[in-house]
Amino acid sequence: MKRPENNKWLDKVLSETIGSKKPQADFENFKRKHPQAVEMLTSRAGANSATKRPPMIRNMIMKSPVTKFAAAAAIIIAVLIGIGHFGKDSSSIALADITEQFESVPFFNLTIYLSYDTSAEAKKVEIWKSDDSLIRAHEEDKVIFADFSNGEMNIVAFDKTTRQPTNTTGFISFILEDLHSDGRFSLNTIINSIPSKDGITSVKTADTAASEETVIFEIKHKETPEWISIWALRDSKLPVRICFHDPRNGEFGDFFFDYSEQKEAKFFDPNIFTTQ
Amino acid sequence: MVVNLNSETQLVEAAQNGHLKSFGILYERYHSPMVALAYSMLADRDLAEDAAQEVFAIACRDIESLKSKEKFAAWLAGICRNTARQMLRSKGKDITSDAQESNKYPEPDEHRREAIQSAVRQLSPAERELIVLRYYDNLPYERIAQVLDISVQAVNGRLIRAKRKIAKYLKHNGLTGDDYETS
Repeated sequence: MKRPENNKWLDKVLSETIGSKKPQADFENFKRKHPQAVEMLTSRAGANSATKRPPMIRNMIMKSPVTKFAAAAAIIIAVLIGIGHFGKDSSSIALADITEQFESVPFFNLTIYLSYDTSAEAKKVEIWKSDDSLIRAHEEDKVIFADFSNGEMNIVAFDKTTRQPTNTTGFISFILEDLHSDGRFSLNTIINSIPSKDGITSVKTADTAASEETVIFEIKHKETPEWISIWALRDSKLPVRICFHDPRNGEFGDFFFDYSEQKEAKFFDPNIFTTQ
Repeated sequence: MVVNLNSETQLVEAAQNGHLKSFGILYERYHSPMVALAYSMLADRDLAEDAAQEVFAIACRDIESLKSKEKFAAWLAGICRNTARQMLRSKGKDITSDAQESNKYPEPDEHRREAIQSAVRQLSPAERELIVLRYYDNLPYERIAQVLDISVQAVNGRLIRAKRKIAKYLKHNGLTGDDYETS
């Protein structure tokens, strides 16, 4: 008989026998079923704030593995806005130009690869925005639809396979909630949610001689080894890639922007998705 | 092992301060491990799901009492074990008989399935927890280590030992990897 640690058959039979379809972690359902417990937890928010300042919730949420990359995105954009005017290269393209240009694009596709430590497999998240402020996003087994068109955010999520409604919790919902705070799909809402922009000091405009088409901005955090690189097209001034890395624990986020394909309206329609 | 404990302690602290969204993140992160942990004791998937719900309801109420924020997963696991024990007591459940009655599993082969279930049942409770955590939802070693409050190396070592026991039991009952590969 083979050594159990050196072969796959035992793993396979154990998975087949014990294994289960991943249990559904539906926090919305949990909240509905346990209103008293939830009330007990949320009631502490007011009580504690009277005696001590709550921890920087924004920071805490941002630092969670789920949302670290929302934070990364936010830091990136904060840099773009907050100190963008320092970051001019020889062609006088500023980071602020890129931010401004990005906000003017009618539609885009954003693919994000993220991992919160070196041992974790990178997770892929995709977000599409339509020219009428509709969002479709894919995160693991969820398909999420959000509508910003009337100034309010309506968000629904469905299981990718069964097409049944599911909870909206996850990385994307955090991003979308940030966006919703301003009632529109604007990266400024993320920028403004950054508690402090002072932590990021220097913008070193990279030597962009390497590419005639691309300008690269590199940013290092003042107090930590975290760094961010931003690639943008010289002509269009649109960001094409933003990469964040924290060498301390291997966290990274890689954001790829694509402006080439405009999805049809039905792609953003949850009703069509559920009836297909 | 690289675990973002700092983030987790901050999430726990936020939840202790009444921040529901932070608790929601913790819920998402540990729901599946808690179902698996409960299943290792209850041997019933529906009951295990119920137990996990109860675990988080208790955690929601009592999280303020947690002092060692970096031990949130282990604290949750403790609640889970107690909850599962209470469910066993209140329902007069017997793990062995329940597991034998249950016929909800996917079936690679009936004889082999029963043999493997028996092999898992003959493990110690700690070993059974480990095996179920690993194979219920392919939980990574890092997360198992957090839940059981042991090192990743310990997870690896104990898993090997538990699997040896299972393999030995299966061999004793006439099942080997060769049988599986030819079936």
